[in-house]
Amino acid sequence: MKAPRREDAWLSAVEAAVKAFSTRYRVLYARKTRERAASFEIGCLHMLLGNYSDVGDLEVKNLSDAGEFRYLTTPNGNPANFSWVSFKSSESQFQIRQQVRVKSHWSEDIAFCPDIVVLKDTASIQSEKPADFANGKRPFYSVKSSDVISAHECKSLSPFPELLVSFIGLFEAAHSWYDGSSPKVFSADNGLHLAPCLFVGGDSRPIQRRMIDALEKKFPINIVTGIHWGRFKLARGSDRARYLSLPDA
Amino acid sequence: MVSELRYLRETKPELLLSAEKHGWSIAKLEVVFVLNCFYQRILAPLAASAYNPHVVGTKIPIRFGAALKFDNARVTRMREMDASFMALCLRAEVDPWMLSAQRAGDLIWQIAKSGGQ
Repeated sequence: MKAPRREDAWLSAVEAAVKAFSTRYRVLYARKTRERAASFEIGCLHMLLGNYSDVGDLEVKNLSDAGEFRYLTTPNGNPANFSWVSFKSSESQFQIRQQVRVKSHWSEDIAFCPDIVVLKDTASIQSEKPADFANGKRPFYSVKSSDVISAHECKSLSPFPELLVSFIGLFEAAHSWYDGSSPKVFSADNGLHLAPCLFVGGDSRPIQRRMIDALEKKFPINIVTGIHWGRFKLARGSDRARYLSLPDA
Repeated sequence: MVSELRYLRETKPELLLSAEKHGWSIAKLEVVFVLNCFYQRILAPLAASAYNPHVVGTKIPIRFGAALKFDNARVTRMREMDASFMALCLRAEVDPWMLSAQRAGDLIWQIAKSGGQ
């Protein structure tokens, strides 16, 4: 059956518009997966810094000679060679870093790399050369989970159930202050630090929102969905974000 | 989404007929799915760094490897690209919610229910 003329016109118009868009912007959008993921992560970092800037001072450390923020893109890089942000409140100071490997309090052998971590200012980055990592030739950099205030993860995906529950594993392994066997309430309506966040690009469906609500009731976390649509900007006082209320932070 | 559409054609033809009555034929839906996928996989993650830029990434440029620099100029270009894509979609009567759908079934069901409004 022949398609109606109106539909043909619609298809031709969209095709022409897409071609024009592609001609104009392809250099901008033709980026590798890794670069797109980094761009999303930087968007999340902006939200986090925006939130912290309301309750203290932020200072960028270790810029390059050209005055640029050297973004650590992989846990294999030496964090000492890259930039980070220092957050100073009236009482204490913290480090905001990306791509720093965390060694869990569960076991030294459980090491993983959250996208963004907020560390105690006293945190030191350890370097060792285990024989079973890069044949003992490259340093294995890490911080202890006891130095982690909050670990944040950024995923430019839909909030599918397995993603949501896997964040709970990261949350428990990265935060020694959280004891799952005797969970205390560490959350506050307003505090210095956002509770550990899972930043998700895609929007949530009603059944996923129910799951997110249930997880947020059970754990001191934020699951922030719909970032692609600007649904949740983490501005203080205008959202439902959860904050941490920790004894030493 | 396109494979899900094929599956729905076989299992729920009445849903597709209902969407077609609202002006969304299979050919048009396939285009919407491509726009949806392009936005969610490519454009939105790139544009994320330009939504609420901080001093880091604007006045203080972020250097990511040798090829990428996140600065004020990039924020401006990203916002322009994002707005241009949204304008393209709106001209084609593809509402923003259609770009945010996770599954073909959700989108078609919504169109069948409300005509895509």
